[in-house]
Amino acid sequence: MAAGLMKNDAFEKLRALLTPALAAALAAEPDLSWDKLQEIRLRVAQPVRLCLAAGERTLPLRWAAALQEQQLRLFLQNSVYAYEEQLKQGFVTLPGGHRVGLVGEAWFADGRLGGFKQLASMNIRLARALPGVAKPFLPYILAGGRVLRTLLAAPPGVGKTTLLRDLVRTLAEGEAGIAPLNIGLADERMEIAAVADGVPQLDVGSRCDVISACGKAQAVMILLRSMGPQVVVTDEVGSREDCQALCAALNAGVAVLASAHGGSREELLARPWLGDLLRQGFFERLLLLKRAGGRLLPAAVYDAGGRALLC
Amino acid sequence: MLNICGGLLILLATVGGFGQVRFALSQRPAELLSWQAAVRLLQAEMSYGLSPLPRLCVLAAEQTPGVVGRFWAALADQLQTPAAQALPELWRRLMDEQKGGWHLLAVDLQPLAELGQGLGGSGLANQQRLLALTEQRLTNLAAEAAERSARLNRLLGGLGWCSGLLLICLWL
Repeated sequence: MAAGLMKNDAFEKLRALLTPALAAALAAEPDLSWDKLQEIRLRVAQPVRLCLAAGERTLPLRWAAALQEQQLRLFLQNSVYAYEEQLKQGFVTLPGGHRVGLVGEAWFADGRLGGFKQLASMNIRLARALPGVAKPFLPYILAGGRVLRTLLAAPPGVGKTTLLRDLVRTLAEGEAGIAPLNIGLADERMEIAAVADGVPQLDVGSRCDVISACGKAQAVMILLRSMGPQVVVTDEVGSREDCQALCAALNAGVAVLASAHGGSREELLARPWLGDLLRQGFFERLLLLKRAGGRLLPAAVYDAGGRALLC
Repeated sequence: MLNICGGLLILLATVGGFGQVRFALSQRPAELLSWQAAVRLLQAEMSYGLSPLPRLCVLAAEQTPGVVGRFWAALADQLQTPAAQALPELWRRLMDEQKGGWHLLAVDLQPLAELGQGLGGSGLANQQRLLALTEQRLTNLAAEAAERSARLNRLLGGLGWCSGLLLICLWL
């Protein structure tokens, strides 16, 4: 293996699932580090491309249809039925928490998307936990010894999910300066905890109860009824059902940590259901995120009344 | 004395020879029942656990004895390797390699071959249909094999003794 691809448990799990051709091509790349690798893009009849923090790199490996088929078979462990629901949504979560996006020719059954055949493209998004990334945000989401109802927002790719994951871990492990909390996590797309065989593949702390692959609204209600969480956490809220479920958490006296796509407060206010929650002061804190110098930082912080605490 | 020893040897040979045939006949229903048990295990684990195939193969290997368990163990081993073939090819290759040690007839191998062509390759509903069909066929074959084995068992037992005695008479 090239010196750049140092061993890391989560990445080793991914490497074990790659076709020999792809694994060899990656190993042969000079100065390639798993830490810098963000995505591996596989498109039939195109060269394999890597998305790195520093930019894009093209591998000298032309991705044939046979390789695509072989790779999918390895990801699915020859078990289409086991990943059927995920396939219908266009993704598969792998051991280690990595996510593979899949698109191709769609087929439908009873008017609903049944999945994709003749896969044209796969996008392997490498998951990574960044312990400690939540630290700069803690002063803004805690007050009076409790977690404030907080919405994290940023455009796609900034790091909302990574931040949410570390916030969950920090609060569950009592590293936030308050007592450890029982967290209920609604992980619909299996990106935050990436549970496999009942075990989170990514560290969400020892007091986190995870519902995976379940609609957020339903998952939040189940968590409130069954698991007695002190904080409910969910990613990418936006629909009416999602927002109603968050209100149920408020009624139950449970704190909320949620994230949403959005680059500004105005953009979020314009959204039909989420905007209503913001205007009503449901969220005690709105944190907009930014990347600066490779670090994740708060770009702006607003309180329940829309007053800027940091901008 | 020599005649007695010789006669005993002949009897031993004929009874033993026909005994081997009886044993082979009795193995056929036993192996079919093992396959049926494996298919039922797959049905339950797929329906309630959605466990991926490599894990199912390990479970099937643990819970089915003899040659059937060895097939599932070999399949589980092969599925774990990154260079693993697609399941249909792997299944076909393993069947070709191992069926020589089985006591199944060509008609028994047919539903097993068809199972291998479809296992794991579709959604849950189709997998359940495939397994239900395979289980039904194996049930029918096992019943027929058991009836045939019982019928021929008695016949072969008698044939062993009779042929031995006939040979002794001819020899004498």
